[in-house]
Amino acid sequence: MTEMFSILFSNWPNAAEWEALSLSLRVSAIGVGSALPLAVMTGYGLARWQFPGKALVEALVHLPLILPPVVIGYLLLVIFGAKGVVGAWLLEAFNFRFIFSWTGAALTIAVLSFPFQVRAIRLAVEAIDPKLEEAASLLGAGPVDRFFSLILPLALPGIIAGAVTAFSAGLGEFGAIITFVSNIPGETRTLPLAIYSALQSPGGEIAAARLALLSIGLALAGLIAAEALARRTRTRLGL
Amino acid sequence: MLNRFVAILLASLVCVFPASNAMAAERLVIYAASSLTDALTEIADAYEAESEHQMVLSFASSSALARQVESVPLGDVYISANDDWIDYLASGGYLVPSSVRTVARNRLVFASSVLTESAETKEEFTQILDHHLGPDDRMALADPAHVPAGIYGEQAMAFLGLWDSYKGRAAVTDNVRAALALIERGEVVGGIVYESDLRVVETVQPVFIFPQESHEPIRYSAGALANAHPAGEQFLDHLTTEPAQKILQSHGFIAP
Repeated sequence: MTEMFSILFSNWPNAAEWEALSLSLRVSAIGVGSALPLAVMTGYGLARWQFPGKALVEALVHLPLILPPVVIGYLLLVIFGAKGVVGAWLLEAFNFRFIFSWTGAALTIAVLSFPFQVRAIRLAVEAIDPKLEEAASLLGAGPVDRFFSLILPLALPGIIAGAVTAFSAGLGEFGAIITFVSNIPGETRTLPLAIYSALQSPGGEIAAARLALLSIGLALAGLIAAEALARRTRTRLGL
Repeated sequence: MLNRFVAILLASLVCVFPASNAMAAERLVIYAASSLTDALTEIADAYEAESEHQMVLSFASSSALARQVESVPLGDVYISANDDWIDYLASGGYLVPSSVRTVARNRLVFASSVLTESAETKEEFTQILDHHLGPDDRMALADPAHVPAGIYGEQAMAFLGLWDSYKGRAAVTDNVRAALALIERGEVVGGIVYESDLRVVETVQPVFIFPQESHEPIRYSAGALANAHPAGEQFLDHLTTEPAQKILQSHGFIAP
């Protein structure tokens, strides 16, 4: 038992673990970060504008939340694969490819975590009193100015909360990533995929257990950091 | 009245017949390497009709199946694409060593749906890879860490002195059929699969057949699991009979 413990708790993290961990952090951060501007615009639009087909847009935004991840992975493969409509063009025009690459994993996370971001941002914008915007407008602030100096700072806690939730969801993504960009060590083998691979190999129990511990530690650290961050933003905004 | 008589007669026959038969209809669970998917499904369908046993088939990589058997020791027959996982299960007491037999053999190929060339020699094959498998390109390969097709693939590429240059370009999949799917869709330049896999999709063509000496012999070994029903052993025997072997060979497998 003590031997088991020493194997479990020594030599953290080994090369393969560090590879999977750093890759997970990187693709999740880049995926969420690159979706952020679009998420802010979408969240703002859904909160403030009325337009025909709004229900459809809302449904589309939330689709990744409801669809089985493997369906998302399949759709990404069909669209962004080497033979996909967009994928073939990207390859032809820019020699750029998502498939089998960490950029594809980041794209997957961007798509899948998009609803988490939009929901949080939308709620934050809706909570801002429209009269503030009217007042700013009366004082001569244009729409762009109003957006950057009023809406954005006030919605910041919501934006951060959304991004942190999306980031955590991205760290756990499995089905869509393995379907779209397969399971390549160092390139697309994120933490959950590494756990899965370890579980596939008989005798991989210890490796899987260590990676699972790593995931738990990461999740706890993330939750604590998110809470601290939210508290700090609230204090700074005097809320 | 007559109808009722016939119904009772039939019902009693149904009750009595299986009991008087040496072997009652059983539910047999067969775990098999994913490359056997089509051939074994056909064999099992025929066997089901003949023996009245209900056949339940589960296909995945031999490694994933070994893992399943180890964690939930149920089921009757395990068929692996290499001997390592058979030995692994036997050493754990999950499989009856004396029941193990070879049921088929296979060859390893580099196949593609986009390349039009084919190679006869190692030099030609190396040239094709040089030309078409650039730093940004990928070749599909079942995970060499644990899936037999990937393990054979690594051995063969290493034997030809190509592994070190090309291992970084592998698109690693869970099992050999997933690699085949990537090749078929043209997402990769090509990939390493079994020759029998090529019978499944017409668009995938062999580019190079790896020489027999470049990898361990590809043997499909089958064995009865520890708590197998006796009918499981019968099915094992059936696998080496002529009708079953005919089906295997029609799917591109080589006789044991």
